[in-house]
Parts: sequence; structure tokens; C-alpha cells
Amino acid sequence: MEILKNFGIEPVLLLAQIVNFLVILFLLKKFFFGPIVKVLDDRKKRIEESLKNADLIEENLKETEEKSTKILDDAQSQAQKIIADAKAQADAIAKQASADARKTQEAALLSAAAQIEAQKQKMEDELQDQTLTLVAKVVQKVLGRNLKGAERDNLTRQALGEIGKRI
Amino acid sequence: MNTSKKYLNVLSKSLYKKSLSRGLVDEKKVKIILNQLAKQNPAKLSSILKTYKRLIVQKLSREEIIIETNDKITFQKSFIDNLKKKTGAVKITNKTNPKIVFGAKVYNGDWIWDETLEEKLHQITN
Repeated sequence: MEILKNFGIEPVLLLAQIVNFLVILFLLKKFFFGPIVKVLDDRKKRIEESLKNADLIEENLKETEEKSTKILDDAQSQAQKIIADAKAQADAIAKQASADARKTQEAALLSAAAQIEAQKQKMEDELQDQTLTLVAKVVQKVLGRNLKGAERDNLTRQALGEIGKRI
Repeated sequence: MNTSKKYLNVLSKSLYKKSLSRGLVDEKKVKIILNQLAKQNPAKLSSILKTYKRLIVQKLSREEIIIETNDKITFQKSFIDNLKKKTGAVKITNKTNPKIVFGAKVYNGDWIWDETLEEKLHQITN
């Protein structure tokens, strides 16, 4: 006790200060540290939730990336397939068109050949007719100039004999 | 008076038959018929005369044979008799046609027999 007195410490005052300290501690804990701790806890919870959400979002993003990659791959393969089909169809159409064109060309050639042949035949016939007419005229003129009177008379009598038989 | 086409044809044929003597056209009878028609002046006289003329012309052309040759020719009697016998013609006339080179063309009514060089060549070329 003397020691306490030597150091100037009054037990009553000390006790009172202790009581005051405890009261202040209780009040602080009740009205100050409590809300702060609660705010900190809430903040901690929100951060934890945010981190969880971030992980979830990251997973979702990863899944989405995988899906989009898969979709892109599928789309690319489909596009390549469509392009290949289109090329095949274009080749087939080109082949068909070429075959049709060849057929049309052959038909046109045949038709032209037939027309040329017909025209040639017609010209030959006309030439033959003209030649015959010319020959007939030449024969008439040559015989008319060179036939002697007796020969002409003899031929005329033969013709009259033929007519006599026919009548 | 009946003036139908059929009646006029019958009348014209009757007049034509009265114009014949022994199957040949008689010039005197034709003159008498024409005089009678002119005096009586029946209806449709022009139609009657047209048909009568056509019949007389046809008969005359059948009675005559025209032989066309390049030059005048003397026909053998047997040939002339044969023609008259076969055709019933009474007259044979020889006409010259310088276009004929040789051969002959015979006309009798509507019939034509052509044995000329021109016809032979025509048959070949057509």
C-alpha cells in the first residue's frame, strides 16, 4: 500500500478510473466498435460474394468462350461444307451446260449440213434442168440449120405415121 | 315464154341438130336458121346464138383435121383415108409452122397429137 502511496496512486481513484475505463469500454463496444465491426463484416461478406461472383463469371466466360469457339468451328466446317457443295454443284451445272451446248451445237451443225445438202441438191436439179433446156435449144438450132430437106421430110413422115397409129 | 338456161340450151341444141346434113354442118341450113332467128327475135337471142355458135364451131373443128409441119407436105392417100376413117373428119388442112424443126402436130376438135422435135425435147426437159 505504501508503495502505491509512494508512487502517488490512490486506490480509490484507481478503482474509480478502472470503473470509468470499464464503463467507457462497455459504451465503446456497445455503440462504436459494434457497428464498425458489423460494417467490416458486411464489407468482408460483400467482397467474398464479389470474389465468388467473379469466379462464377470467369467460369461462365470460359464456358462461353468454349461454346463460341465450338460454334465458330462448327460454322467454319459448315461453311467449308457449303462451299464444297456449291463448288460441286457449280461443276455439275457447268458440265451440264457444256454438254447441252455441245448437243445444241451438234444439232445446229446437223441442221446446217442438211440444209446445205438440200440446197446443193436443189442447185444440182436446177443446173440439170437448165443444162437440159440449153441442150434442147442447141439440138433444135443445130438440127434446124443442118437438117437436109429429104431428112426433114422423112422424119416428118415417120412422125405422121406415129400419129396415125395413136389416133 | 320459158327462158331458163336449161331451156335455152335445149333450144340451141335443137337448132344445131337441124343445121346438120348427113352428120355434117350444112352451110345453107345454118343460114336459114340464122335468118329465122333474126326474124322471130326470140327472148334471150344473144344467149341462144352464143350456145348455137359454140356447138357449130365445135362440130366444124371436129370435121376438120389441121396438120402442122415445117414445110408443105404431100400426104399418102392411105394416110388421109385412115385419118378420116378414125376421126370422122371430112377436111384435112396442111399448115406450115417454121418453128417446127421436123415432125408434125395434128389438131382435131379438142384433140392434139404432137410428134414434133420440140415436144420430144420438152418431154425430156420437164
